[in-house]
Amino acid sequence: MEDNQTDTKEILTPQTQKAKKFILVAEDDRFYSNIYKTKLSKEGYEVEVANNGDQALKIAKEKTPDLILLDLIMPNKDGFELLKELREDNNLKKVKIIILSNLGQEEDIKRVRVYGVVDYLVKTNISIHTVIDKIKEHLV
Amino acid sequence: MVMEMDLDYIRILESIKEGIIIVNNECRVIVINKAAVKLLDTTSAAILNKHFDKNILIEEQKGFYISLSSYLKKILVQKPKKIETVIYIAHKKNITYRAPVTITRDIFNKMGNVALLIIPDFTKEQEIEHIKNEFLALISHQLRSPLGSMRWGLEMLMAEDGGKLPAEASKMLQQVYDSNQWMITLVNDILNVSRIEKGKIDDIPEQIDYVSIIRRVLKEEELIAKKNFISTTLDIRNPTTHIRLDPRSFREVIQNLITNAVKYSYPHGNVVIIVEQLDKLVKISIKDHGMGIPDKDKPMIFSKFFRARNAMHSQTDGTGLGLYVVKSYVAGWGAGIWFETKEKEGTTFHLEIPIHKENKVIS
Repeated sequence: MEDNQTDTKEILTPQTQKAKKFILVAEDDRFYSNIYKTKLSKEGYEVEVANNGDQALKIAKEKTPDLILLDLIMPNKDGFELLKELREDNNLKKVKIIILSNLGQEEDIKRVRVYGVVDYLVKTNISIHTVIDKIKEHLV
Repeated sequence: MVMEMDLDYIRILESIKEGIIIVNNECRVIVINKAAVKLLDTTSAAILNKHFDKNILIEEQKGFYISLSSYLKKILVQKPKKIETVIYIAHKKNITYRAPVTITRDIFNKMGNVALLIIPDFTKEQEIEHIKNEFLALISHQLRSPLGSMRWGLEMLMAEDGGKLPAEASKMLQQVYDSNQWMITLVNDILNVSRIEKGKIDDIPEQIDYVSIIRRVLKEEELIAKKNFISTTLDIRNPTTHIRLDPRSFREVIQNLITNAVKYSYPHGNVVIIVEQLDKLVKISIKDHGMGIPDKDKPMIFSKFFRARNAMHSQTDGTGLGLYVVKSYVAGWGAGIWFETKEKEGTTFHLEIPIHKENKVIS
């Protein structure tokens, strides 16, 4: 279990001075997506939630996010499929993607690795504070 | 069936549900019944008078596979007469079956130096096993989802994202959080066990800087150690290199052993990790000053769902799976693990990982 419970206090980064970085959250579980939204907005990011694969693809194509948080099990188009389609789009080929799933078997990680993601995190095994820290790291 | 055999014999052979195969002194298949054809996923035309397909393997030594035909060539001139072993059969459907097999030679006086292979029908049993493991994996994943959202919700409450908390409420939340952590560990352990029992731990060995993995795990554990006034020491006895191992399972093993050492130490004790890299092996020892393992429980310590009596009294939150997982992974690497212990003084676990030639990194 990866567990770094250092008490990260929210430091409000002056994101607002520049254009706000845009994070797309593809997550069908409302509880999780609300947590992302609350935490990341507080950090000064612009956040939009898609609760299925199709919707996520549509938003990604329209707005080219700086980062996508991607769940793997989602209705109508799962994360694996979405990942493939994102990478086929010329504009989205290089978009940073963090997988945040509860699947953590080697098979799943292998399947995802070929598409080039910046991180693969198992939600239950990591604290929300660490997740936010990692997101910040990738958006510096 | 090619050999000139009595029709009666053929009928008997075909009616047996075990796979029956006879190979001659050149290791060519001279008799095969229907059941065996099916179990090997072949046709009689494709196998009769031929050697076994190269995809049928046998594990001659730990981690060392050779084809069944080469193996038979060796044993046809060797003792013992009867061998019970396991073969691996890759079916076209991309599934590899692990099949027990009994090989007996020289039982037919008239036929010279031949061997008889008997393969029981393994498909049903393995199918059930497969379903069980899939079920376990599915359930664990389903459980993970709510456990994870509870975890994050609790963490936010505890960080007072939802407003300032009275001291009493913080204390209660901490308890809920501990239970939540325990459930997550349990579910992870069950997932690991189901993976191990699937027969493939999915190890992907690569060159790893094992010392830095130990350092990282130790750093994570220090927080809990400090809470209980336990100090930790990492003692690296000589220069180390990379070794070739699966990083995830290595991390899992080290984490389990260090967590245990911290958990079962007495307050103000010291947990010492000693790393020695010798010519042919890496030795990692994890020593605690704690309650030790009672004599009676020693033989059981690596068993599934087993917890030592004194451990159960002092720490109620163990799953009884940690050391089972450790042992399974370690065995999978072809490495060894054992322990020394004295009640009320402490336990040392020793891990010995052989360095194969290809393990050495040219630096």
